[in-house]
Amino acid sequence: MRISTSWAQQLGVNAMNAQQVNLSKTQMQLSSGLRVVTPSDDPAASVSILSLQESIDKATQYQDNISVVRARLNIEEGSLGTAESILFRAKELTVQALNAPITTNDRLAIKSEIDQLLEQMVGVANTQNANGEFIYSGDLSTTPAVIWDTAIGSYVFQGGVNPRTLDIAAERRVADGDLASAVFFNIDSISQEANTTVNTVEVDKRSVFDTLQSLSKALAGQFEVPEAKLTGSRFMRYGVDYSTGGTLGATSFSLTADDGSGTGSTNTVDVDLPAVATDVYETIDEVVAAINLQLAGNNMEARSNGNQIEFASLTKGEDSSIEITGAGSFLTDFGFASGDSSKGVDLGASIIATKTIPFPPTVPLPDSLAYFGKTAIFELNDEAGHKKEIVLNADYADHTELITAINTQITGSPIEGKIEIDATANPIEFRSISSGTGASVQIRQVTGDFLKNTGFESGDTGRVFNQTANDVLADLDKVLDTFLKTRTTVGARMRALDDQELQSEKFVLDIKSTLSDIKDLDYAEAIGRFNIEQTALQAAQQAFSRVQSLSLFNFL
Amino acid sequence: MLSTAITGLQAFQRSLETTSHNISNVNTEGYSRQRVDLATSKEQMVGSGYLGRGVSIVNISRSYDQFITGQLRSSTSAFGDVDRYSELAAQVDDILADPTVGMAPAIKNFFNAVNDSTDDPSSLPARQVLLSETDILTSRFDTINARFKQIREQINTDMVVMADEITGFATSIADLNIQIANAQGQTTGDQQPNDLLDKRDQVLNQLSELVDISVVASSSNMINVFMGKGEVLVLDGTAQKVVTQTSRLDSTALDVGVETNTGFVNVITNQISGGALAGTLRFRAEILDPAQQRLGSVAASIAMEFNKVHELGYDLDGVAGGLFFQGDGMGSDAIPVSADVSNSVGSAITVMFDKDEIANIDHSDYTLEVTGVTTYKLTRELDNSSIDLTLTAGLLVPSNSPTDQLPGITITPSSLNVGDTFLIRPTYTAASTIAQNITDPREIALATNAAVDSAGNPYVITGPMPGDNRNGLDLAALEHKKGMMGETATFQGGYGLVVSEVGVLTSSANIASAAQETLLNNAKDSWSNVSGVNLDEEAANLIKFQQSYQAAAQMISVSDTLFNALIGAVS
Repeated sequence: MRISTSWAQQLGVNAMNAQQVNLSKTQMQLSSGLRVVTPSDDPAASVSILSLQESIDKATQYQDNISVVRARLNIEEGSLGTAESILFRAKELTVQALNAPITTNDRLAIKSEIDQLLEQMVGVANTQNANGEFIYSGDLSTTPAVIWDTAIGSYVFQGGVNPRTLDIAAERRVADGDLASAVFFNIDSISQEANTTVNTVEVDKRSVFDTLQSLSKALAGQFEVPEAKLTGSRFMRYGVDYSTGGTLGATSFSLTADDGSGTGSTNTVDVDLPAVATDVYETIDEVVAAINLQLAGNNMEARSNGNQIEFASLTKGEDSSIEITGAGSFLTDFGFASGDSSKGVDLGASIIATKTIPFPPTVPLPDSLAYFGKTAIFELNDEAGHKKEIVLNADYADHTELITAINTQITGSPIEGKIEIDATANPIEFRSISSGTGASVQIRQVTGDFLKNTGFESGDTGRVFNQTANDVLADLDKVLDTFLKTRTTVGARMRALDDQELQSEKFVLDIKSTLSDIKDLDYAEAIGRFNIEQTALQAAQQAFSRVQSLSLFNFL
Repeated sequence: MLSTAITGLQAFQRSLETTSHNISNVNTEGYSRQRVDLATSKEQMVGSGYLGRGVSIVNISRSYDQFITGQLRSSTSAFGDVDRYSELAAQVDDILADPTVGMAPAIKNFFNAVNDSTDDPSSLPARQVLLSETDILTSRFDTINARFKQIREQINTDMVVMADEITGFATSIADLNIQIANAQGQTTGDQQPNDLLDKRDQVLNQLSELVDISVVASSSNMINVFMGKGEVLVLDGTAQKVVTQTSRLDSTALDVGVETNTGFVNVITNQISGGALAGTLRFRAEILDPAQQRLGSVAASIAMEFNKVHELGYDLDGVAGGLFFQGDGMGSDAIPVSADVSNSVGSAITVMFDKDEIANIDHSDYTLEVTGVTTYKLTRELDNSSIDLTLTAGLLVPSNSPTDQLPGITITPSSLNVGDTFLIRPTYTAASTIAQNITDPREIALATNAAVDSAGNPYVITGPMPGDNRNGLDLAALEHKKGMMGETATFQGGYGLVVSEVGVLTSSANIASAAQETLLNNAKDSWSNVSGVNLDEEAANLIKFQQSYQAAAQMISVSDTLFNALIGAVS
């Protein structure tokens, strides 16, 4: 066995190099604090590190979203609180207004405060968040939710179609607000001012603004009578392209409305769009203008509430009616169905019996319905001086006979056209059907048991103002319900946010700990290793220098 | 007696000279120690017996083992291969490990910006941030790609240098062959021109570092050298010229070839199997190109998926969303395709990414061949699998769909003829060409403008809905969509694969390199044990020959004394 001198030296150098490489690698680890410095150090671990980091980042982004949603929901909650206190004050004022006697000055004072409350409520509906977005406008967030529309004469909803949602976790979206159309508008109402029938279904809803406005007007002696009205369900704010060059092409439809005479006869107009072949309607107002050119003089009009198109008869009250028909694209484009129709209602005061008269009458009756022999007479009058005494003196077998008997006597009397009895209601309802400020109906006892049977008190009077104010009171309660319901959903959403945030925090903590196990250097082990390698290098260096000095030539 | 002593003197003088030659060359690379072979001179019959006539030098030979030298050469080749491979792999590994260049944080920040602008769709600042992050993302892809390009250029330079070196070595070997043959011609029998032979072995060693060679003995102690799988490099006294030229189908890559004397270059890229040249070529094919293409497929997937959702949405002005990203195959520019030089004039294909098959985007190269008038074949270069295509409605589609699928691309042919061939590298340029297409923050389409009327019919709102973020929600959800690799990986997952592939290959290259280095050291060890100079041994030899010389010199002095005594006795 022999070894060459140069190879012996090379072996020593190789050994030192190897130790230096190890030492330098450990040094890299110590200075960076990472166990895996390049992917080749541990390829499987480097992929795990990337995917764990991805999970952490995903969860962190969701936490950011949660903060954003929470801030917005806080603003919404605050605004609802303000709205509720406005409502409470409005209720107080309404009760005050109902308490007779009340002078005109008092009424006007209450009215001006109601007007202010109305403006405040509009302000709440138009609350903006820190970015200047209107929180109740949904996806049309740069437009105020509520504005005053002069043509329609009330506050209308101008916001978007959908509330906005944000992801707070994978597959979990939370809305960061609500649409004013669900909170301030479309609230159940018992008032006849809100009463229209659409497709023979009664639709009794109005906005809180309309409610307050009706009170304000009533205090000034004005009363709104609703007209027949049809509203399209599609958001057509940005108009439509019916030009002959466009994708939709021309369309037509027909509108039938009462002619305003009260006789039941109608006008029908066939509307053609486009009015001009190249007309591209850029906004809904242009569509309305083009339609109105064709409707002029037919006792009907088209208008828009900013987002949707409406067709209304110019007549108000029970005689007003409107219907839309057609097969063209206009109906589906704007959100109607062919045959949609609406009728108006008359506004009036009414008095309602407190007891139901049973039919067929039970024998023996505690109070006889056989008015033959025990004639009952009562008087109906309105405060304008029209009155009539109604005489009941026969055996009435059923409710219908009783009503017919009363109706026969109303016909041809001074109260005809002013007071009517409801055709089917049991308990009995007497209604004023004129809509002037003095509209009222009163019942007085003359003789007999009719009032006792029905529970009326002599002198019971229904006044339009009282009716209106009572309706407002009931409606304000409904508004309060809506606000509370909305606050509840907001609260539920905020709790969901808290839950999710907690879960995510725990998740992130777990992942971070796993990541650290894989990625970070175990300093104790590394430093120990560093010391050993350092010693090994020093030993190799010393051995090398010792061996180098050995040569036979030194001894020759 | 005098002449016997003189033979001794001469022999020992030669021995001392040889020992001195060994000592002087102790550090010469490739030097095999030489020894003087002594034998007794022809004896002479002198009546009472055969009298020895002294010593004669038979040969000065070198300590040499043919097998060990061959072993050393092949170990050198093998080590050269994996060593160069792992050096280059470490460069790519370092690029991907660099936290300032890594894609993972860029992708994360991009989607964070998408989320932030989705939280606040009407906010222009948030949208502006998204545009900035998009720019950073596309630049990051480009940066990594540029580093790859740098390495590619470096490899090309290396290959040119290596080709020159190989040619230089081959020329040296040819010259040495001639010199050795001449020197051999001047001798009789076993004498060999030792130093020339050592030198030739040394050049062969240096050559085998660069490329694997096989050596076959030729006449007059000349050798023939063959490269790779049998390409001639040196034949007796003539050497071939090794050159590089631009690859036919990929203008950024070089091929290695041998130039014949007519100027024609015989490409031998696929036949090289050892040495640094093989390591370089293998690195390019196994690590560099696939890494670039995998990175490209991540870029292409992000761009196509994002564009697809973005085009469904509406921007801040109510205008339908346009292209968010641009790039080769992603928007208006087509993927670059190489046509074979022998293709018919005017034949071409247009290749774009298919937005309905984004999950099928693949990182391999593809070759399209027109096999018949209406038949076409698409071959996947990585595994040599192929599918048949037919022409339907102006596009080439798989004949056997849905079992066969195109790799996320659409191919539109124009004037193809039988025999035309094209090389398609769908994701090769994706990372370097991906760019943002939108500069106005208002044009980011975060809204879907979708609504449902009271009858349940869906419709689209035709104007601006600034608070609508539903398209933004869909865009943000892309981060977690498994849209890559046949719907098994997210974008981050796809990028993770780039990193892990390189990491695994680098790690195993490091292990292979360490193993080969050990084998090489063993071979060097064996070689130097046989042929290396040991100074202590030479020092001992010095003493030995010095003493022998002194003894032989003493013999002459004795012989002189005897002669003087004889002369004195006679006179």
